[in-house]
Amino acid sequence: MSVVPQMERPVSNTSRWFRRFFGKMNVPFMSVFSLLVIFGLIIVWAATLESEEYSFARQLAGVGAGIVVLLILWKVDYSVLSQAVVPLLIIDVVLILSPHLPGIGYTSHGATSWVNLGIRFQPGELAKIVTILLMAAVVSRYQGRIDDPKEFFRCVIILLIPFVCVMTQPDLGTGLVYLVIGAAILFVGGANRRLILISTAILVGLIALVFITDPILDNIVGHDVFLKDYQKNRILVFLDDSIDPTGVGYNLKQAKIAIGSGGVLGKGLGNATQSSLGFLPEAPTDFVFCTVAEQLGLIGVLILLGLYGALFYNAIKMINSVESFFGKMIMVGICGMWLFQVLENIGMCCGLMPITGIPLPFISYGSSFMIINFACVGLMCSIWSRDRKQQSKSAELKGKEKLRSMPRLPQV
Amino acid sequence: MTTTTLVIIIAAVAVAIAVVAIVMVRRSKGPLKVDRVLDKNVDQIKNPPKHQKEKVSADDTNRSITKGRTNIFGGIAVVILGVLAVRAWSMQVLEGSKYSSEAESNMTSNVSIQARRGRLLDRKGRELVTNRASRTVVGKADLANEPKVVRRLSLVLGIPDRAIRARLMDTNAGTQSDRTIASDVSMRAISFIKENPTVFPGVSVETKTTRSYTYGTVGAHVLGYTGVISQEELQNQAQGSNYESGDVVGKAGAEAAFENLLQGTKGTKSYKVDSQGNVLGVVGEIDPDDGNDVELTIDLDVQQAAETALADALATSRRSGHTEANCGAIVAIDVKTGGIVAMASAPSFNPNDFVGGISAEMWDSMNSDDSGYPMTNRAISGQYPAASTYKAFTGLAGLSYGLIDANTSYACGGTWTGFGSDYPKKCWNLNGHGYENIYRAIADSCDIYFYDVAKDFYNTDDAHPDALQNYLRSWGFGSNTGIDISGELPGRVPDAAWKKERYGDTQDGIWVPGDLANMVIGQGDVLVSPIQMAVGYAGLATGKLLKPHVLYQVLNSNGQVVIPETVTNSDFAPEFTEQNIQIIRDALRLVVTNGGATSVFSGFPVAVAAKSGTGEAGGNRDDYAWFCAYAPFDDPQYAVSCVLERGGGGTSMAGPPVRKVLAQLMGVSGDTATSVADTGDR
Repeated sequence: MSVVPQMERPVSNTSRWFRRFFGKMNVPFMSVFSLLVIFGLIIVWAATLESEEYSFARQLAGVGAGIVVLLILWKVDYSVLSQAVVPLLIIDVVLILSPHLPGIGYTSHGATSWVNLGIRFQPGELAKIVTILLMAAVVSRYQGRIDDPKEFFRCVIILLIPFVCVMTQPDLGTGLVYLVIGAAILFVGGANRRLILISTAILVGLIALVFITDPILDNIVGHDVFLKDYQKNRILVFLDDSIDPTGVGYNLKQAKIAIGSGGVLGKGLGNATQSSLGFLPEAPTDFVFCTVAEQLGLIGVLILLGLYGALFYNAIKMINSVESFFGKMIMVGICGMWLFQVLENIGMCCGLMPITGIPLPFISYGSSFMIINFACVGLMCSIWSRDRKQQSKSAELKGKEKLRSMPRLPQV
Repeated sequence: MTTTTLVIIIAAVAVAIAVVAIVMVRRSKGPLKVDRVLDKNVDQIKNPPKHQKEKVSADDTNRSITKGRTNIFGGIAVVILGVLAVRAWSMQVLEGSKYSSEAESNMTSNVSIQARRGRLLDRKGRELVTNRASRTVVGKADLANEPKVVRRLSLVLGIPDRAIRARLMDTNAGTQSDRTIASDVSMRAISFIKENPTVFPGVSVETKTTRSYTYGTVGAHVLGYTGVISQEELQNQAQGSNYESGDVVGKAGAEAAFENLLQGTKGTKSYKVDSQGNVLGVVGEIDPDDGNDVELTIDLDVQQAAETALADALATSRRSGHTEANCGAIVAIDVKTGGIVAMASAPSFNPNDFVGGISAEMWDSMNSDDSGYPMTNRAISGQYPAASTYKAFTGLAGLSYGLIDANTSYACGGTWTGFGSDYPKKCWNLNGHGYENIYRAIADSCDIYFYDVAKDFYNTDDAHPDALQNYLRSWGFGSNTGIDISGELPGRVPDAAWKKERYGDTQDGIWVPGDLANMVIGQGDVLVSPIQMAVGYAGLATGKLLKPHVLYQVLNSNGQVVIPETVTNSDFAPEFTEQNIQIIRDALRLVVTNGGATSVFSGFPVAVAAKSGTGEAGGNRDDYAWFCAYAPFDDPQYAVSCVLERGGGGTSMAGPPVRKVLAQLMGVSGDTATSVADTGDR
């Protein structure tokens, strides 16, 4: 990523070429993004020092692949996709259901969410981007206001299609990510306040209903209907971590010990006893936040949260200044996904959220997850640079009068 | 989560919700107004143009909604990141030290180093109980399901398959720990098992320090035995003690009574470990503090003599036709200190059987009716009618209350009708003893003299209710003596209240004069233990009632005395005049010089005072033979009591073992010069 910050100085030939080729870039956003990735690499490096299971080189390779994907998507014109609701929906469903295909499907940890095509990956991760594009395309048709309940629920039903598909795997964590993406896009996309409140109430009611009727149905049918036992246990443990500390609650207990024992200053990089001695499972992946907190203490946590804050701040500034409504919606979907992943991942480590397998964006070990997030950044770059081009073009065309009527001056 | 954090988080969330709500309300007001004005706009929303190009800029109203919603989204992000930061702060700063110590304890594993259990010695420092190393074969519990391995072990160790399986399934040492398959295994078998580990999966060889009872059964009841601490004991352990599952603790006798002295303090070795339990290094080590050696008041020679004498006496008794004579007890006490010099109880057991866990079979056999309950220490928990040995105390009661004096004499004609001709009572000597005073009455063990004493008590009953009982209780009867090993039973001094409680409001529950007559000669509902009689006779000898004990002194690991022997007064202080107690002492001496027990001590070089007793067992069963004595008469040193269950006559059966024990105590020849005739006396 060292290439990117250099772009600030338009002196070199390379940078001039870069600007011509890729267009303008949002320097503050890209700087924060780079810092986050560097921070994540340092943490993963320290967490994988003595590990045989994880290799830092693989993580570096993931970041490299991510950069490539980012640059490719930067170059791609996304705007045609705003009309491609049906193809996007089909791609989304096919992707999510592909692990069920015999031959390439693969089941691990009780969820059929992997495919094996030479390399093993989760199509559900890729489907996150497709879902973002899909929802953005659907909502952008309304150009900022959805007051008709019929239209609103049409959007909701489209959103529920990928969710229901992913629940066949079943993967509740990814399903929740889809829901949050859709909710964020619908919210910012101008869904009527009352409709939002009603659908939230219905959702809460449904969740309560599932929890109440699940044991009864299980008894009648004789096997798990809605929730599997481990899913229920995760939720119960989050509510009361004294439940079975060696079984389900073990991970949570060890995660909390890792965070708490970091103190203000932390134990120093590479001195994390909880993760390096194996008490904390999945330390570089799902529980990577714990190794941050353990090694760097509250200072490190605040730096990390500050970087996320800066990322969202700059992203929201971008959303506000971008003209294309479809582009806005895509960015909102991406930010919603990141925000939920940050909340869920750190929240689960702290015991504020149920335990799910959602990693921490830009930090957690795992190349496919890294590539997806880089792809999102690439998408944002593409939207931003295209929008700048568009705005300056229309400014040139329509002259200063038109420019004055614009709600906001473009930022440079 | 601490309450502070919770409050902060809730407050943050509440503020955030409020902010979001206000913003939403303010935002939603604006567009609504415009809504009414701009019908065209609504139209456009309801029927969005199908192929609207996205570069067509949205209406200004919509644009402001979008911006507002985006900013709310930003606000939500701020709140979420803020809540996470507060949570991290509360965990790392407020609860940091708690989590730090949990992380510390995660990666440290403490292994206890057992302290050497103290030895038990006799009063002359001879080892009665010590420790020794034992090569032990242990196995995992689930080996019981591996018949092939069990079979191989059976061949190598020479133990039947069934026994090995039983030991593997034995949960005596705790369900988690490895099971001991065999102790004291030969070197050959050990090396064979060690050299073929693949043939014996789950089997390992350990050198364990085990308890060793040098003289086997000798002193078993005093010494007690050890065993693995029970779940109950673990849970109820006293504050400050540090027992763990699998620890060996005293279960009975001195092993249990002096557990705190013997146990010592464990050492600790701290290791740094990973989550798999792999040891990464030693962090620290605290050496164990070995247990103290405890010297008991027991004299090994006297103890052995007492046990031999008891066994011989029971054998003699059985030979004389008292076929049920299998059980009995002897107690020898130092009258000046209250120290128990010998305490024998028959039948006995071998504490070595308990080392490494007693087998279930043996335990059951030791608790069956046929076994005679060998683990019962009859010296302190045996409950017998005191019979005529009681007369020394009931006589002293009569003297002390002034009902009789040295010159009071009553006529004995063999039958007594003092409580009416409907209730005749007989003397053991049906021919009668003629006129007898207290000296002769004790020497001849005349019952009718004591019936008259009972009648005297009966006559004063209105003025002094329960006078006899109260006096007997002041000698400690009906209460534990307070000896420092457990298992003692208090015996019984019956009275009207007891009888009513026992039999209820029935005919049987009424206290009748005959009960007093029975009690005065130690029969009826009277119950005493051998230790009570030994302590009582020691009290008669010295005039001072002491609390008996078996703890002589405590030595530290360098052999220095850290706790010396202490002489403790009994909880009871009987009242008597020197004149009256001397009357009883002289009467007891007369028993030996010119009375019932003369033949027992004929030729005995030391002056002995004694009293026999023959307790009625009820029905047609054989009597309980009693004999109590102290010596030397002029300067008393030791008192001895002996009881033989269903052993027959007191003098003839229980007398000789007492003589043998006294002989050992006084260091004189114990040979009985003449055989003692079974005269049927009491």
